[in-house]
Amino acid sequence: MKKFWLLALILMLTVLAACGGGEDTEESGGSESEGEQSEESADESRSVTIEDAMGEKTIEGTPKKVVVLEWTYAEDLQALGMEPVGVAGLDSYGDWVDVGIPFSDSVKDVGTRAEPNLEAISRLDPDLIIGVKFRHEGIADKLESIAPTVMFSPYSEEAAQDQYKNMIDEFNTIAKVVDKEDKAEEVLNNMEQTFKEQQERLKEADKDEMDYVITQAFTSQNTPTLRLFTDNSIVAKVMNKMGMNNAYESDKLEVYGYTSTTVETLQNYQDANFFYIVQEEDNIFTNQLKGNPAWENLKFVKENRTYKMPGDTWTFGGPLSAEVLAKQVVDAAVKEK
Amino acid sequence: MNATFRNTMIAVLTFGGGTALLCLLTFIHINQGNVEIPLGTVVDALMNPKDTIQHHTVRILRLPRAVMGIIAGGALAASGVILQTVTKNPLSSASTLGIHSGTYFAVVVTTIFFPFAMFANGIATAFIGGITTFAIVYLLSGAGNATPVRMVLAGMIVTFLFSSLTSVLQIFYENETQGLFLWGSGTLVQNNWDGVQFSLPLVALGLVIAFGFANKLDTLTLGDDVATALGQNVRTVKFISILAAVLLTSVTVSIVGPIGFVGLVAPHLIKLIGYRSHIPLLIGSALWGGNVLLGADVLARIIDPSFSELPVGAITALIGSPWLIWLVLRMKQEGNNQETGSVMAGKASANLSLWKVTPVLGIIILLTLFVSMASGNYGFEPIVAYDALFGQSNEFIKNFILNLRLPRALVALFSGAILAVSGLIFQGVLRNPLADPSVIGITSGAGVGALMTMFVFSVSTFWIPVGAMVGALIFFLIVMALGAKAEFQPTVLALLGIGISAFGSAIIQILVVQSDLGVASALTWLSGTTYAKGWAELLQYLIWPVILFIPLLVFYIKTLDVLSLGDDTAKGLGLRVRSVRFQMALIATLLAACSVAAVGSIGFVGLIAPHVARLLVGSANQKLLPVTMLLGGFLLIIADLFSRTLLAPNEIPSGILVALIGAPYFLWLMKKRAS
Repeated sequence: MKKFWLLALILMLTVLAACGGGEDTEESGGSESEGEQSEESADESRSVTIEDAMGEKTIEGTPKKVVVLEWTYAEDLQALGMEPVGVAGLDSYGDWVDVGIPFSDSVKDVGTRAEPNLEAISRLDPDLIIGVKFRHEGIADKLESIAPTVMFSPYSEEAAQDQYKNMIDEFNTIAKVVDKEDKAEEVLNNMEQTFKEQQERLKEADKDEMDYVITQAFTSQNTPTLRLFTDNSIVAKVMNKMGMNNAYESDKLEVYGYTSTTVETLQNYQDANFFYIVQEEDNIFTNQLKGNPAWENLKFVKENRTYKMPGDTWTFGGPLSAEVLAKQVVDAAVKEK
Repeated sequence: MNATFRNTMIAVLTFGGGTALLCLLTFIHINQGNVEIPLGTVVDALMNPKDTIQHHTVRILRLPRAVMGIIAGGALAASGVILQTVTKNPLSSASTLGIHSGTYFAVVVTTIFFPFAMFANGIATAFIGGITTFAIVYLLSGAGNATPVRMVLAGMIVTFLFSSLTSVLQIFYENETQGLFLWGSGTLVQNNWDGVQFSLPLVALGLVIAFGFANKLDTLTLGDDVATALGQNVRTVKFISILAAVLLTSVTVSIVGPIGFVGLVAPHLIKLIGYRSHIPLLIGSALWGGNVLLGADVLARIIDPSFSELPVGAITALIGSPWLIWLVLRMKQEGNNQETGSVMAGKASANLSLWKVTPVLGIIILLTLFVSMASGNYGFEPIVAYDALFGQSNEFIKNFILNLRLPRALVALFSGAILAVSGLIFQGVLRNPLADPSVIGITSGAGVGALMTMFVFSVSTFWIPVGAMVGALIFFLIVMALGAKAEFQPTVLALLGIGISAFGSAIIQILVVQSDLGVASALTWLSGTTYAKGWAELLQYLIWPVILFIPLLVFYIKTLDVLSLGDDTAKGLGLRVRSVRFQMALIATLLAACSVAAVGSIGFVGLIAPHVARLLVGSANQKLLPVTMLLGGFLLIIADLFSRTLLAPNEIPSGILVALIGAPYFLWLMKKRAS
């Protein structure tokens, strides 16, 4: 127990030192921070109370060095004009998430998202850790002993009812913790603005009320697999906001916001317009399904109402991803085929 | 007359009825799908195909899957018949002999390193992998002299080894192997007729060879000597028919993945009906093999109506493993008693004194602990660690070493130690050098318990270890209850364990596929890992079994020596054999359960530590106890050290590392015992 308090004390001291030092020179993440003990920062008295997946939580001070264990929240921080000091699964982040803000070299990899490396996190000496309950619940205590930890639960029954709303809630919570609420408001306004602009583009092309089915498609177990997004997903919500109508409905609540299925299901939605997100090297529509009459004979294929979107369209992201998504949907929709 | 009539009826039911059932199942199968297609349209699509989307769905998306199921089921069953005859082992099949895992491993290796060799679904590599694995298992278990149980246990160890290696490759080459996951547990999914077109000629070839050799196989059942006396070249017959069996297996694996138990169940169904001659045996088995597999796929799609693929291999294991158990219990009644003598590997013992071995081991462990303290993401920093432990050091570093690295290493030390002891006891109780908590089915039970806790009761992760312990105990009681009838004969108990394990793994697979939520943490935990373990695990699960059981064992473990003399001698010496077996096994289960609760299912430690200990100090259990503990602890500390540092900041599950350290040793051990 004594050790714990010692550790906590050390952590607090280093946090304060880091805050003080980080004011004028923005980067300090790369260097060893224990050495630079300087005067205490001014906002030590600040404390916020938020509600996360584990309950109510009070965080003292304004976190500057944040370690993020799930990509969405790294993106949220980027949107708020901050850069995390450590990200789990850093190497593959760019393959899936592209919001146009690359990380600098000082951002450290802290292991995989499933098993983040506690030592690496601890070495970064963060003053906030952001994780997700479904992956990190088991190590919550350990994370908490390194730094205050905010734990979200984006795929709980409750959050899954409306993932778009949940995404905004999480974004605002993070903004509150890192004291960037003004910036958050600006980001969200920009996002709404983007939606409006994109809807205008759709209207000009006379496509704003199109019925759609949107899917993320990939090969899984040698089989072309389709994720059909349901209305509670961020993707569908964004598209609906731009005046489009999702033709796909699932009879049960899909916690991830999609139903995994095979090409057979598409027969039920032949009148809709078919949007698909597919990685270039795993394009099931040109690889496996080309020439297959069960695909070629679908009405939307015959009538050329399929719309391809880039493979790095991140459907589980934050506000910036939502903007990118809106643009990509409209790009795909208005492009002459 | 009456008898002839009866035989005819049986034949009609077996072959005619089998065919009718196959047609019925096929029809049910092609009516299952994501889209409702009226019955009439389905019939129409078959009889009178038109260029409509519904007809294409039936003929291109659904029918190939059903046909593939029949081909694969038939091929697996026929190969089962051949393997059972050639190895003279009623428990032989492609999965029990490890051929599946070897084939799968070969395909994964080829996919990663020699993708150009993956032409024709990698059938060449699959075939080579299969035949090599069979050779390994056959030779290691003592070739012609192998008892059924030895061969199946050897098959199981090889399976264990290959699946660990496969998981390592899947971790290192995540992107290359992504598409192989569901296929790895067996799935009939087909996109078109390619799979059927590819496999049909090869399966036909394998069957033709098998039929050509049917008479010779009949002769072989009379025994090698008789067959030789009748002028048969036994070796050639065995060799060619095994090639045919492996061909049949590897074709199916390369298309639908390793699907277990079909090759075991179907031949026995036909044998039970009374057929002994190979022509009807092969035809009947192939027919009913198709039925079993197709039926399993129909069932899988009924269980999971959302049609997110439930691996059909899991369903066949679920149906097949009770069969294995039933077969084992039946074998027991036939008085299979030859393996009741001592089977300890103690011959090559160095017979060192305990007073020399323990201190040396102790010092080695302390040194390793220190190295472990000093190693982390930034390499090896002995001075930093020394300062942190004994001298003046930055408090931050100190806490970091004392609260992250030290408890984790201690968890590894303790859980390794109790796992090893658990293995030692099981080996003594079952008089089986290949016994280990995972062989008895306990580890699998713990996994089921853990997942059930999460999925069925959906409580917080805090309860997972509790669920694991309950699961382990329940599975232990089931094995014991089944084994009680056989007076806990080593052979029977070990085979029961394998059956129960397979059953448990099938449940685990189904639960994992069925629950989309919250299993992530349970899965990491299942793979066996010292990741993020700390003081809490040490205090909750590991300290008290050591305090409670080890002193008890110090006095009690001598009874294992008596047991090793054989049941009759032990009874003669006044030992209540049955109750001692039960009590010792219970203690071993509790120890294993504690370790599983703390670090998940880590195999091989309980298997290897006692063996190395025997090599060092001989076979007296009282001497073995401390040495085994120390060795088990040492093994897991090393694994933990590497799991943290090799790929830092990424972790490798330490359970896999243990398998990598343990496998080569084990192969050596098996070879030594066979010669």
